[in-house]
Amino acid sequence: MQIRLDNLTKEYDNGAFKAVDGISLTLEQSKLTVLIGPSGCGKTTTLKMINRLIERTGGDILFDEKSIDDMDRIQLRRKIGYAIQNIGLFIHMSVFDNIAVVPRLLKWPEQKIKNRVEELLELVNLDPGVNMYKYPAQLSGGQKQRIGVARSLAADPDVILMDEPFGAIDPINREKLQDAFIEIQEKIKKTIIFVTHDIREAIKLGDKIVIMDNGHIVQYDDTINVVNQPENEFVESLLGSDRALKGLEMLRVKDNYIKDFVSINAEEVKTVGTALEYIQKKEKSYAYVVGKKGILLGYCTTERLKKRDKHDDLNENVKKTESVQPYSNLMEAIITMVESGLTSCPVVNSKDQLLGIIRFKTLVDIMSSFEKSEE
Amino acid sequence: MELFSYFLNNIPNILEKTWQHFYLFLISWSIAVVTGIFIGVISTRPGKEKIGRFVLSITGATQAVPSTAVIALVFIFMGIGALPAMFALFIYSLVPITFNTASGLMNVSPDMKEAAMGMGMTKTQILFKVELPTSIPAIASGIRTAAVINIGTAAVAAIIGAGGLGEIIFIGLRLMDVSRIFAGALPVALLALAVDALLALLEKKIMSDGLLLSKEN
Repeated sequence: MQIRLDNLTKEYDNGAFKAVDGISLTLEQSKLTVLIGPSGCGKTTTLKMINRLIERTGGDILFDEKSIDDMDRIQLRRKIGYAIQNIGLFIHMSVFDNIAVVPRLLKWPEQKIKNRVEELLELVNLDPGVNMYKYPAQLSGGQKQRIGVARSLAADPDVILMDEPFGAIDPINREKLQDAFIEIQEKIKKTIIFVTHDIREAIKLGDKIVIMDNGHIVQYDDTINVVNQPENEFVESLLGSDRALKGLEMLRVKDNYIKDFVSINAEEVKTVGTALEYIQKKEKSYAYVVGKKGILLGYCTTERLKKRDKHDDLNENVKKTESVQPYSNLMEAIITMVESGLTSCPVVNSKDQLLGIIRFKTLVDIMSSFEKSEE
Repeated sequence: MELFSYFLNNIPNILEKTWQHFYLFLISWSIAVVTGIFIGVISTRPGKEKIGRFVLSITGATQAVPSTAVIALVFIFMGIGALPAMFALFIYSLVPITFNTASGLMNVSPDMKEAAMGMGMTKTQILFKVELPTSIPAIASGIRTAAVINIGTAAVAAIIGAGGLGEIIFIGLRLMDVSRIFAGALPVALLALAVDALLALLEKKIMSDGLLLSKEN
Protein backbone atom coordinates (compact mmCIF):
# COMPACT_ATOMS: atom_id res chain seq x y z
CA MET A 1 0.00 0.00 0.00
CA GLN A 2 1.24 3.45 -0.87
CA ILE A 3 0.80 6.16 1.73
CA ARG A 4 0.86 9.81 0.84
CA LEU A 5 0.97 12.59 3.39
CA ASP A 6 -0.45 15.77 1.96
CA ASN A 7 0.31 19.00 3.79
CA LEU A 8 -0.21 17.07 7.03
CA THR A 9 -0.52 19.33 10.05
CA LYS A 10 -1.07 18.93 13.78
CA GLU A 11 -1.74 22.06 15.76
CA TYR A 12 -2.21 22.35 19.49
CA ASP A 13 -3.85 25.19 21.41
CA ASN A 14 -5.62 26.59 18.34
CA GLY A 15 -2.49 26.91 16.29
CA ALA A 16 -0.26 28.32 19.01
CA PHE A 17 1.98 25.28 18.64
CA LYS A 18 2.47 23.24 15.50
CA ALA A 19 3.85 19.78 16.27
CA VAL A 20 3.74 18.87 12.59
CA ASP A 21 3.74 21.77 10.17
CA GLY A 22 2.38 20.91 6.75
CA ILE A 23 4.53 18.00 5.67
CA SER A 24 4.03 16.29 2.31
CA LEU A 25 5.69 13.09 1.27
CA THR A 26 5.00 9.75 -0.35
CA LEU A 27 6.02 6.67 1.58
CA GLU A 28 7.15 4.03 -0.84
CA GLN A 29 5.57 0.63 -0.96
CA SER A 30 7.57 -2.31 0.43
CA LYS A 31 10.26 0.01 1.74
CA LEU A 32 11.32 0.78 5.26
CA THR A 33 11.19 4.52 5.80
CA VAL A 34 12.75 5.91 8.95
CA LEU A 35 11.46 9.09 10.57
CA ILE A 36 14.26 10.64 12.59
CA GLY A 37 15.00 13.89 14.35
CA PRO A 38 15.54 15.39 17.79
CA SER A 39 12.80 14.94 20.39
CA GLY A 40 9.87 17.22 19.70
CA CYS A 41 10.53 17.26 15.96
CA GLY A 42 7.13 15.72 15.24
CA LYS A 43 8.20 12.24 14.17
CA THR A 44 6.04 10.31 16.63
CA THR A 45 3.11 12.65 16.08
CA THR A 46 3.39 12.03 12.34
CA LEU A 47 3.46 8.27 12.91
CA LYS A 48 0.46 8.29 15.22
CA MET A 49 -1.59 10.37 12.83
CA ILE A 50 -1.28 7.55 10.31
CA ASN A 51 -3.28 5.15 12.49
CA ARG A 52 -5.28 7.99 13.98
CA LEU A 53 -4.10 7.57 17.55
CA ILE A 54 -3.60 11.30 17.13
CA GLU A 55 -6.09 13.15 14.94
CA ARG A 56 -4.60 15.58 12.47
CA THR A 57 -5.79 19.17 12.35
CA GLY A 58 -4.95 19.86 8.74
CA GLY A 59 -3.98 18.28 5.42
CA ASP A 60 -4.69 14.67 4.57
CA ILE A 61 -3.32 11.16 4.68
CA LEU A 62 -4.07 9.02 1.65
CA PHE A 63 -3.84 5.24 1.40
CA ASP A 64 -3.61 4.39 -2.30
CA GLU A 65 -5.07 7.86 -2.91
CA LYS A 66 -8.04 7.20 -0.62
CA SER A 67 -8.43 9.73 2.18
CA ILE A 68 -8.09 8.51 5.75
CA ASP A 69 -11.43 10.19 6.49
CA ASP A 70 -13.18 7.69 4.23
CA MET A 71 -12.02 4.79 6.38
CA ASP A 72 -13.35 3.54 9.68
CA ARG A 73 -10.79 4.29 12.37
CA ILE A 74 -11.05 0.88 14.06
CA GLN A 75 -10.94 -1.08 10.79
CA LEU A 76 -7.99 1.01 9.62
CA ARG A 77 -5.98 0.18 12.75
CA ARG A 78 -6.65 -3.53 12.33
CA LYS A 79 -5.11 -3.30 8.89
CA ILE A 80 -2.00 -1.50 10.11
CA GLY A 81 0.57 -3.27 12.27
CA TYR A 82 1.71 -1.31 15.30
CA ALA A 83 4.73 -1.83 17.55
CA ILE A 84 5.83 0.54 20.31
CA GLN A 85 8.93 1.11 22.40
CA ASN A 86 7.57 -0.34 25.61
CA ILE A 87 5.97 -3.15 23.62
CA GLY A 88 2.80 -3.19 25.72
CA LEU A 89 2.40 -6.95 25.68
CA PHE A 90 -0.77 -8.00 27.48
CA ILE A 91 0.58 -9.48 30.70
CA HIS A 92 -2.48 -11.61 31.34
CA MET A 93 -2.31 -13.29 27.95
CA SER A 94 0.03 -16.00 26.73
CA VAL A 95 2.38 -15.35 23.83
CA PHE A 96 -0.13 -17.13 21.62
CA ASP A 97 -3.05 -14.94 22.72
CA ASN A 98 -0.98 -11.78 22.40
CA ILE A 99 -0.12 -12.51 18.79
CA ALA A 100 -3.65 -13.68 18.08
CA VAL A 101 -5.31 -10.42 19.16
CA VAL A 102 -5.78 -8.79 15.76
CA PRO A 103 -6.55 -12.04 13.87
CA ARG A 104 -9.27 -12.70 16.46
CA LEU A 105 -10.63 -9.17 16.09
CA LEU A 106 -10.80 -9.93 12.37
CA LYS A 107 -12.57 -13.22 13.18
CA TRP A 108 -10.10 -15.56 11.54
CA PRO A 109 -10.82 -19.27 12.07
CA GLU A 110 -8.85 -20.66 15.06
CA GLN A 111 -6.86 -23.13 12.98
CA LYS A 112 -5.65 -20.38 10.67
CA ILE A 113 -4.67 -18.30 13.71
CA LYS A 114 -2.72 -21.19 15.19
CA ASN A 115 -0.81 -21.73 11.96
CA ARG A 116 -0.10 -18.03 11.70
CA VAL A 117 1.20 -17.76 15.27
CA GLU A 118 3.56 -20.69 14.73
CA GLU A 119 4.76 -19.22 11.47
CA LEU A 120 5.42 -15.83 13.08
CA LEU A 121 7.26 -17.28 16.07
CA GLU A 122 9.56 -19.09 13.67
CA LEU A 123 10.01 -15.90 11.69
CA VAL A 124 11.23 -14.05 14.78
CA ASN A 125 13.44 -16.99 15.76
CA LEU A 126 11.52 -18.24 18.78
CA ASP A 127 10.68 -21.92 19.08
CA PRO A 128 6.84 -22.13 19.03
CA GLY A 129 6.85 -25.38 21.02
CA VAL A 130 8.76 -23.77 23.88
CA ASN A 131 7.35 -20.26 23.85
CA MET A 132 3.79 -20.32 22.59
CA TYR A 133 2.10 -20.72 25.96
CA LYS A 134 4.51 -18.70 28.06
CA TYR A 135 3.39 -15.46 29.64
CA PRO A 136 5.24 -12.18 29.03
CA ALA A 137 6.64 -12.31 32.58
CA GLN A 138 8.52 -15.47 31.62
CA LEU A 139 10.32 -13.87 28.69
CA SER A 140 13.55 -11.86 28.47
CA GLY A 141 13.48 -8.27 27.22
CA GLY A 142 14.72 -9.29 23.79
CA GLN A 143 12.15 -12.06 23.51
CA LYS A 144 9.36 -9.67 24.46
CA GLN A 145 10.50 -7.29 21.75
CA ARG A 146 10.41 -10.12 19.21
CA ILE A 147 6.87 -10.99 20.29
CA GLY A 148 5.99 -7.31 19.90
CA VAL A 149 7.26 -7.41 16.31
CA ALA A 150 5.49 -10.73 15.65
CA ARG A 151 2.26 -9.29 17.05
CA SER A 152 2.46 -6.27 14.75
CA LEU A 153 2.78 -8.65 11.78
CA ALA A 154 0.01 -10.96 12.96
CA ALA A 155 -2.80 -10.19 10.54
CA ASP A 156 -0.38 -9.78 7.64
CA PRO A 157 -0.87 -6.02 7.33
CA ASP A 158 0.47 -4.14 4.32
CA VAL A 159 1.67 -1.29 6.49
CA ILE A 160 3.48 -1.48 9.80
CA LEU A 161 4.13 1.46 12.10
CA MET A 162 7.00 1.09 14.54
CA ASP A 163 7.71 3.62 17.26
CA GLU A 164 11.27 2.98 18.52
CA PRO A 165 10.54 -0.73 18.80
CA PHE A 166 14.08 -1.57 19.89
CA GLY A 167 14.55 1.51 22.05
CA ALA A 168 14.24 -0.14 25.43
CA ILE A 169 16.80 -2.86 24.79
CA ASP A 170 20.49 -2.93 25.76
CA PRO A 171 22.90 -2.13 22.88
CA ILE A 172 24.13 -5.69 22.28
CA ASN A 173 20.67 -7.20 22.04
CA ARG A 174 19.47 -4.23 20.03
CA GLU A 175 22.09 -4.97 17.36
CA LYS A 176 20.95 -8.58 17.25
CA LEU A 177 17.29 -7.63 16.99
CA GLN A 178 18.06 -5.15 14.24
CA ASP A 179 19.96 -7.80 12.28
CA ALA A 180 17.13 -10.26 12.72
CA PHE A 181 14.64 -7.58 11.73
CA ILE A 182 16.54 -6.77 8.51
CA GLU A 183 16.34 -10.44 7.55
CA ILE A 184 12.62 -10.50 8.32
CA GLN A 185 11.95 -7.44 6.21
CA GLU A 186 13.94 -9.01 3.32
CA LYS A 187 11.39 -11.82 3.45
CA ILE A 188 8.15 -9.95 4.04
CA LYS A 189 8.77 -6.69 2.16
CA LYS A 190 6.21 -4.62 4.03
CA THR A 191 5.73 -0.88 3.91
CA ILE A 192 7.25 0.04 7.24
CA ILE A 193 7.36 3.43 8.88
CA PHE A 194 9.91 3.39 11.65
CA VAL A 195 10.50 6.13 14.19
CA THR A 196 13.85 6.37 15.96
CA HIS A 197 16.17 8.98 17.41
CA ASP A 198 19.24 6.80 16.84
CA ILE A 199 20.98 7.78 13.59
CA ARG A 200 22.93 4.51 13.52
CA GLU A 201 19.67 2.57 13.66
CA ALA A 202 18.23 4.78 10.93
CA ILE A 203 21.17 4.20 8.60
CA LYS A 204 21.26 0.51 9.37
CA LEU A 205 17.57 -0.22 8.83
CA GLY A 206 16.22 2.47 6.56
CA ASP A 207 15.78 2.16 2.83
CA LYS A 208 14.79 5.79 2.99
CA ILE A 209 15.22 8.39 5.69
CA VAL A 210 13.03 11.34 6.56
CA ILE A 211 14.90 13.86 8.69
CA MET A 212 12.59 16.10 10.66
CA ASP A 213 13.05 19.20 12.76
CA ASN A 214 10.46 21.51 14.31
CA GLY A 215 7.60 19.82 12.52
CA HIS A 216 9.21 20.19 9.09
CA ILE A 217 10.96 17.77 6.77
CA VAL A 218 14.62 18.72 6.44
CA GLN A 219 15.59 15.96 4.04
CA TYR A 220 13.83 12.94 2.56
CA ASP A 221 15.90 10.65 0.42
CA ASP A 222 17.43 7.20 0.02
CA THR A 223 19.65 6.40 2.98
CA ILE A 224 22.79 6.37 0.88
CA ASN A 225 22.02 9.83 -0.49
CA VAL A 226 21.39 11.20 2.97
CA VAL A 227 24.77 9.90 4.11
CA ASN A 228 26.54 11.04 0.94
CA GLN A 229 24.85 14.37 0.42
CA PRO A 230 23.51 15.84 3.62
CA GLU A 231 21.12 18.64 2.77
CA ASN A 232 22.50 21.11 5.29
CA GLU A 233 24.44 21.53 8.50
CA PHE A 234 21.56 20.21 10.59
CA VAL A 235 21.65 16.88 8.77
CA GLU A 236 25.45 16.82 8.94
CA SER A 237 25.43 17.33 12.68
CA LEU A 238 22.79 14.63 13.05
CA LEU A 239 24.95 12.24 11.06
CA GLY A 240 27.99 13.10 13.16
CA SER A 241 31.63 13.38 12.18
CA ASP A 242 32.07 9.66 11.70
CA ARG A 243 29.49 9.29 8.97
CA ALA A 244 31.93 7.48 6.69
CA LEU A 245 32.09 4.76 9.30
CA LYS A 246 28.33 4.90 9.88
CA GLY A 247 27.83 4.55 6.16
CA LEU A 248 29.31 1.07 6.45
CA GLU A 249 26.35 0.07 8.58
CA MET A 250 23.86 0.39 5.77
CA LEU A 251 25.84 -1.81 3.42
CA ARG A 252 25.45 -5.55 3.68
CA VAL A 253 28.18 -8.13 3.51
CA LYS A 254 26.16 -10.06 0.91
CA ASP A 255 26.67 -7.35 -1.71
CA ASN A 256 30.37 -6.89 -1.08
CA TYR A 257 32.06 -10.22 -0.47
CA ILE A 258 34.07 -12.25 -2.95
CA LYS A 259 33.78 -15.93 -3.57
CA ASP A 260 37.23 -16.17 -5.13
CA PHE A 261 39.60 -16.86 -2.24
CA VAL A 262 42.18 -19.33 -0.96
CA SER A 263 40.98 -22.00 1.41
CA ILE A 264 42.29 -25.32 2.55
CA ASN A 265 40.11 -28.34 3.08
CA ALA A 266 41.32 -30.08 6.22
CA GLU A 267 39.67 -33.27 5.04
CA GLU A 268 42.21 -33.48 2.22
CA VAL A 269 45.19 -31.52 3.48
CA LYS A 270 46.43 -33.12 6.67
CA THR A 271 49.97 -31.84 7.22
CA VAL A 272 51.55 -28.47 7.77
CA GLY A 273 53.91 -29.04 4.84
CA THR A 274 51.25 -29.50 2.19
CA ALA A 275 49.28 -26.55 3.53
CA LEU A 276 52.30 -24.25 3.51
CA GLU A 277 53.23 -25.26 -0.02
CA TYR A 278 49.66 -24.61 -1.17
CA ILE A 279 49.42 -21.16 0.39
CA GLN A 280 52.81 -20.06 -0.90
CA LYS A 281 51.95 -21.22 -4.38
CA LYS A 282 48.96 -18.90 -4.26
CA GLU A 283 51.23 -16.09 -3.03
CA LYS A 284 49.24 -15.50 0.13
CA SER A 285 50.29 -15.13 3.74
CA TYR A 286 47.33 -16.97 5.23
CA ALA A 287 44.38 -19.14 4.27
CA TYR A 288 41.07 -20.16 5.77
CA VAL A 289 40.65 -23.79 6.72
CA VAL A 290 37.38 -25.65 6.28
CA GLY A 291 36.35 -29.08 7.48
CA LYS A 292 33.51 -31.44 6.72
CA LYS A 293 30.76 -29.92 4.49
CA GLY A 294 32.80 -26.76 4.12
CA ILE A 295 32.36 -25.70 7.73
CA LEU A 296 34.80 -22.98 8.73
CA LEU A 297 37.41 -24.17 11.24
CA GLY A 298 39.65 -21.10 11.31
CA TYR A 299 42.74 -19.90 9.52
CA CYS A 300 46.46 -20.61 9.40
CA THR A 301 49.30 -18.22 8.56
CA THR A 302 52.45 -19.07 6.66
CA GLU A 303 54.40 -17.33 9.40
CA ARG A 304 53.19 -19.88 11.94
CA LEU A 305 53.38 -22.89 9.61
CA LYS A 306 56.99 -22.15 8.74
CA LYS A 307 57.97 -22.57 12.37
CA ARG A 308 56.46 -26.08 12.51
CA ASP A 309 57.75 -29.38 11.26
CA LYS A 310 56.21 -30.10 7.87
CA HIS A 311 54.86 -33.44 9.07
CA ASP A 312 52.92 -31.84 11.93
CA ASP A 313 49.14 -32.16 12.00
CA LEU A 314 47.56 -29.12 10.30
CA ASN A 315 44.55 -29.19 12.63
CA GLU A 316 46.71 -28.24 15.59
CA ASN A 317 47.88 -25.10 13.82
CA VAL A 318 44.51 -23.70 12.88
CA LYS A 319 43.54 -20.54 14.72
CA LYS A 320 39.87 -19.87 15.37
CA THR A 321 38.35 -16.68 13.99
CA GLU A 322 35.14 -14.72 14.21
CA SER A 323 33.02 -14.57 11.07
CA VAL A 324 30.15 -12.54 9.64
CA GLN A 325 27.00 -13.59 7.81
CA PRO A 326 25.61 -12.24 4.53
CA TYR A 327 23.11 -10.02 6.34
CA SER A 328 25.71 -8.56 8.68
CA ASN A 329 26.73 -5.03 7.81
CA LEU A 330 30.18 -3.88 6.83
CA MET A 331 30.72 -2.24 10.22
CA GLU A 332 30.55 -5.66 11.84
CA ALA A 333 33.01 -6.97 9.25
CA ILE A 334 35.50 -4.24 10.01
CA ILE A 335 35.25 -4.90 13.75
CA THR A 336 35.88 -8.60 13.15
CA MET A 337 38.98 -7.73 11.11
CA VAL A 338 40.32 -5.44 13.79
CA GLU A 339 39.88 -8.21 16.34
CA SER A 340 41.54 -10.94 14.27
CA GLY A 341 44.25 -8.71 12.78
CA LEU A 342 43.65 -10.19 9.33
CA THR A 343 43.10 -8.21 6.15
CA SER A 344 39.90 -10.08 5.44
CA CYS A 345 36.99 -11.59 7.26
CA PRO A 346 35.29 -14.90 6.49
CA VAL A 347 31.63 -14.94 5.50
CA VAL A 348 29.60 -17.96 6.56
CA ASN A 349 25.99 -19.03 6.34
CA SER A 350 23.84 -19.99 9.32
CA LYS A 351 25.35 -23.50 9.27
CA ASP A 352 28.85 -22.03 9.56
CA GLN A 353 29.78 -23.07 6.02
CA LEU A 354 32.34 -20.76 4.44
CA LEU A 355 30.76 -18.79 1.58
CA GLY A 356 33.49 -16.29 0.83
CA ILE A 357 35.56 -13.52 2.28
CA ILE A 358 35.24 -9.82 2.59
CA ARG A 359 38.44 -7.86 2.04
CA PHE A 360 39.69 -4.89 4.00
CA LYS A 361 40.56 -3.14 0.75
CA THR A 362 36.90 -3.23 -0.31
CA LEU A 363 35.93 -1.49 2.91
CA VAL A 364 38.61 1.16 2.52
CA ASP A 365 37.44 1.89 -1.03
CA ILE A 366 33.85 2.28 0.14
CA MET A 367 34.81 4.56 2.99
CA SER A 368 36.95 6.77 0.80
CA SER A 369 34.00 7.20 -1.55
CA PHE A 370 32.03 8.57 1.43
CA GLU A 371 34.94 10.77 2.44
CA LYS A 372 35.10 12.25 -1.05
CA SER A 373 31.48 13.26 -1.01
CA GLU A 374 32.09 14.93 2.32
CA GLU A 375 34.55 17.44 0.83
CA MET B 1 -17.57 -26.86 77.90
CA GLU B 2 -19.25 -24.00 79.77
CA LEU B 3 -18.38 -21.78 76.82
CA PHE B 4 -20.16 -24.00 74.30
CA SER B 5 -23.28 -24.65 76.41
CA TYR B 6 -25.50 -22.00 74.85
CA PHE B 7 -24.21 -22.84 71.41
CA LEU B 8 -24.93 -26.55 71.72
CA ASN B 9 -28.37 -26.08 73.28
CA ASN B 10 -29.60 -23.58 70.68
CA ILE B 11 -28.38 -24.88 67.36
CA PRO B 12 -31.66 -24.36 65.43
CA ASN B 13 -31.89 -20.76 66.64
CA ILE B 14 -28.24 -20.10 65.82
CA LEU B 15 -28.66 -21.61 62.38
CA GLU B 16 -31.63 -19.39 61.74
CA LYS B 17 -29.75 -16.29 62.87
CA THR B 18 -26.76 -17.33 60.78
CA TRP B 19 -28.99 -17.59 57.76
CA GLN B 20 -30.44 -14.11 58.50
CA HIS B 21 -26.95 -12.80 58.90
CA PHE B 22 -25.82 -14.36 55.66
CA TYR B 23 -28.84 -12.94 53.90
CA LEU B 24 -28.11 -9.40 55.16
CA PHE B 25 -24.58 -9.78 53.91
CA LEU B 26 -25.33 -11.39 50.57
CA ILE B 27 -27.92 -8.88 49.42
CA SER B 28 -26.06 -5.75 50.51
CA TRP B 29 -22.68 -7.01 49.37
CA SER B 30 -23.84 -8.26 45.94
CA ILE B 31 -25.44 -4.93 45.12
CA ALA B 32 -22.28 -3.21 46.34
CA VAL B 33 -20.09 -5.38 44.07
CA VAL B 34 -22.10 -4.48 40.99
CA THR B 35 -22.46 -0.80 41.90
CA GLY B 36 -18.84 -0.45 43.04
CA ILE B 37 -17.36 -1.93 39.88
CA PHE B 38 -19.75 0.18 37.83
CA ILE B 39 -18.74 3.43 39.55
CA GLY B 40 -15.08 2.41 39.38
CA VAL B 41 -15.31 1.81 35.64
CA ILE B 42 -17.36 4.92 34.84
CA SER B 43 -15.11 7.23 36.81
CA THR B 44 -11.94 6.05 35.07
CA ARG B 45 -13.00 6.26 31.42
CA PRO B 46 -10.57 8.26 29.27
CA GLY B 47 -11.24 11.96 29.59
CA LYS B 48 -12.75 11.53 33.06
CA GLU B 49 -9.45 11.40 34.94
CA LYS B 50 -10.57 14.21 37.24
CA ILE B 51 -13.69 12.32 38.29
CA GLY B 52 -11.55 9.24 38.83
CA ARG B 53 -9.22 11.07 41.18
CA PHE B 54 -12.21 12.61 42.99
CA VAL B 55 -13.80 9.18 43.50
CA LEU B 56 -10.48 7.85 44.79
CA SER B 57 -10.09 10.59 47.37
CA ILE B 58 -13.71 10.40 48.54
CA THR B 59 -13.72 6.63 48.87
CA GLY B 60 -10.25 6.70 50.37
CA ALA B 61 -11.40 9.10 53.10
CA THR B 62 -14.71 7.32 53.70
CA GLN B 63 -12.87 4.12 54.59
CA ALA B 64 -11.78 5.84 57.79
CA VAL B 65 -15.38 6.36 59.00
CA PRO B 66 -16.23 3.77 61.69
CA SER B 67 -18.96 1.26 60.81
CA THR B 68 -21.07 2.20 63.83
CA ALA B 69 -21.19 5.79 62.60
CA VAL B 70 -22.56 4.68 59.24
CA ILE B 71 -25.20 2.55 60.94
CA ALA B 72 -26.12 5.41 63.26
CA LEU B 73 -26.49 7.82 60.35
CA VAL B 74 -28.67 5.43 58.39
CA PHE B 75 -30.81 4.89 61.48
CA ILE B 76 -31.41 8.66 61.75
CA PHE B 77 -32.65 8.86 58.17
CA MET B 78 -34.26 5.47 57.62
CA GLY B 79 -35.25 4.16 61.02
CA ILE B 80 -34.93 0.53 62.08
CA GLY B 81 -35.26 -2.86 60.43
CA ALA B 82 -33.48 -5.12 57.99
CA LEU B 83 -33.77 -2.72 55.08
CA PRO B 84 -31.95 0.24 56.64
CA ALA B 85 -29.36 -2.22 57.93
CA MET B 86 -28.79 -3.59 54.47
CA PHE B 87 -28.53 -0.07 53.14
CA ALA B 88 -25.84 0.77 55.69
CA LEU B 89 -23.98 -2.45 54.85
CA PHE B 90 -24.26 -1.66 51.17
CA ILE B 91 -22.76 1.81 51.62
CA TYR B 92 -20.00 0.45 53.79
CA SER B 93 -19.10 -2.34 51.30
CA LEU B 94 -19.29 -0.01 48.36
CA VAL B 95 -16.30 1.99 49.51
CA PRO B 96 -13.47 -0.57 49.24
CA ILE B 97 -14.87 -2.05 46.04
CA THR B 98 -15.13 1.32 44.29
CA PHE B 99 -11.76 2.43 45.60
CA ASN B 100 -9.96 -0.72 44.46
CA THR B 101 -11.69 -0.90 41.10
CA ALA B 102 -10.86 2.72 40.30
CA SER B 103 -7.27 2.45 41.49
CA GLY B 104 -6.80 -0.88 39.70
CA LEU B 105 -8.07 0.52 36.42
CA MET B 106 -6.04 3.70 36.78
CA ASN B 107 -2.90 1.64 37.24
CA VAL B 108 -3.28 -0.41 34.05
CA SER B 109 -0.09 0.21 32.10
CA PRO B 110 -0.57 2.96 29.50
CA ASP B 111 1.58 0.92 27.10
CA MET B 112 -0.91 -1.92 27.13
CA LYS B 113 -3.75 0.51 26.52
CA GLU B 114 -1.89 2.22 23.69
CA ALA B 115 -1.03 -1.11 22.08
CA ALA B 116 -4.65 -2.24 22.40
CA MET B 117 -5.93 0.94 20.81
CA GLY B 118 -3.32 0.89 18.06
CA MET B 119 -4.26 -2.69 17.22
CA GLY B 120 -7.84 -1.67 16.61
CA MET B 121 -9.71 -2.67 19.76
CA THR B 122 -12.84 -0.67 20.49
CA LYS B 123 -13.13 1.08 23.85
CA THR B 124 -15.43 -1.67 25.10
CA GLN B 125 -13.00 -4.35 23.95
CA ILE B 126 -10.14 -2.56 25.69
CA LEU B 127 -12.19 -2.48 28.91
CA PHE B 128 -13.21 -6.12 28.86
CA LYS B 129 -10.16 -7.70 27.25
CA VAL B 130 -7.39 -5.62 28.77
CA GLU B 131 -8.32 -3.26 31.58
CA LEU B 132 -10.64 -5.42 33.68
CA PRO B 133 -8.69 -8.69 33.33
CA THR B 134 -5.43 -7.01 34.37
CA SER B 135 -7.17 -5.24 37.28
CA ILE B 136 -8.60 -8.45 38.75
CA PRO B 137 -6.13 -8.63 41.66
CA ALA B 138 -7.03 -5.11 42.82
CA ILE B 139 -10.78 -5.52 42.27
CA ALA B 140 -10.85 -8.93 43.93
CA SER B 141 -9.03 -7.69 46.98
CA GLY B 142 -11.59 -4.87 47.29
CA ILE B 143 -14.43 -7.36 47.00
CA ARG B 144 -12.92 -9.67 49.62
CA THR B 145 -12.21 -6.84 52.05
CA ALA B 146 -15.78 -5.65 51.57
CA ALA B 147 -17.16 -9.14 52.27
CA VAL B 148 -15.23 -9.58 55.51
CA ILE B 149 -16.04 -6.08 56.75
CA ASN B 150 -19.67 -6.54 55.75
CA ILE B 151 -20.10 -9.76 57.71
CA GLY B 152 -18.48 -8.18 60.77
CA THR B 153 -20.49 -4.98 60.52
CA ALA B 154 -23.73 -6.93 60.02
CA ALA B 155 -23.35 -8.07 63.62
CA VAL B 156 -23.34 -4.43 64.76
CA ALA B 157 -26.41 -3.77 62.59
CA ALA B 158 -28.46 -5.80 65.06
CA ILE B 159 -28.63 -2.58 67.11
CA ILE B 160 -31.08 -1.18 64.59
CA GLY B 161 -33.15 -4.32 64.51
CA ALA B 162 -31.59 -6.05 61.53
CA GLY B 163 -31.63 -9.48 63.12
CA GLY B 164 -28.82 -11.90 62.48
CA LEU B 165 -26.09 -13.18 64.78
CA GLY B 166 -25.61 -9.72 66.26
CA GLU B 167 -28.83 -10.21 68.19
CA ILE B 168 -27.39 -13.14 70.10
CA ILE B 169 -24.24 -11.15 70.85
CA PHE B 170 -26.11 -8.07 72.08
CA ILE B 171 -28.44 -10.09 74.30
CA GLY B 172 -25.38 -11.86 75.66
CA LEU B 173 -23.77 -8.51 76.40
CA ARG B 174 -26.83 -7.27 78.26
CA LEU B 175 -27.07 -10.47 80.30
CA MET B 176 -23.29 -10.65 80.75
CA ASP B 177 -23.56 -14.20 79.38
CA VAL B 178 -20.18 -15.14 77.89
CA SER B 179 -21.47 -18.41 76.49
CA ARG B 180 -24.19 -16.52 74.60
CA ILE B 181 -21.76 -13.90 73.25
CA PHE B 182 -19.49 -16.69 72.12
CA ALA B 183 -22.36 -18.53 70.42
CA GLY B 184 -23.04 -15.38 68.37
CA ALA B 185 -19.46 -14.39 67.66
CA LEU B 186 -18.12 -17.77 66.59
CA PRO B 187 -20.48 -18.21 63.59
CA VAL B 188 -19.75 -14.61 62.51
CA ALA B 189 -16.04 -15.37 62.42
CA LEU B 190 -16.57 -18.71 60.69
CA LEU B 191 -18.87 -17.14 58.13
CA ALA B 192 -16.32 -14.42 57.35
CA LEU B 193 -13.53 -16.96 57.00
CA ALA B 194 -15.60 -19.26 54.81
CA VAL B 195 -16.73 -16.48 52.48
CA ASP B 196 -13.21 -15.11 52.20
CA ALA B 197 -11.78 -18.56 51.43
CA LEU B 198 -14.45 -19.13 48.79
CA LEU B 199 -13.74 -15.78 47.17
CA ALA B 200 -10.00 -16.42 47.23
CA LEU B 201 -10.62 -19.66 45.38
CA LEU B 202 -12.81 -17.89 42.86
CA GLU B 203 -10.21 -15.18 42.36
CA LYS B 204 -7.54 -17.74 41.64
CA LYS B 205 -9.82 -19.42 39.17
CA ILE B 206 -10.60 -16.37 37.06
CA MET B 207 -7.22 -14.65 37.32
CA SER B 208 -4.69 -15.36 34.58
CA ASP B 209 -1.44 -17.06 35.63
CA GLY B 210 0.32 -14.36 33.67
CA LEU B 211 -0.69 -11.77 36.27
CA LEU B 212 0.57 -13.91 39.10
CA LEU B 213 3.90 -14.36 37.33
CA SER B 214 4.30 -10.68 36.56
CA LYS B 215 3.57 -9.83 40.20
CA GLU B 216 6.31 -12.19 41.34
CA ASN B 217 8.86 -10.48 39.11
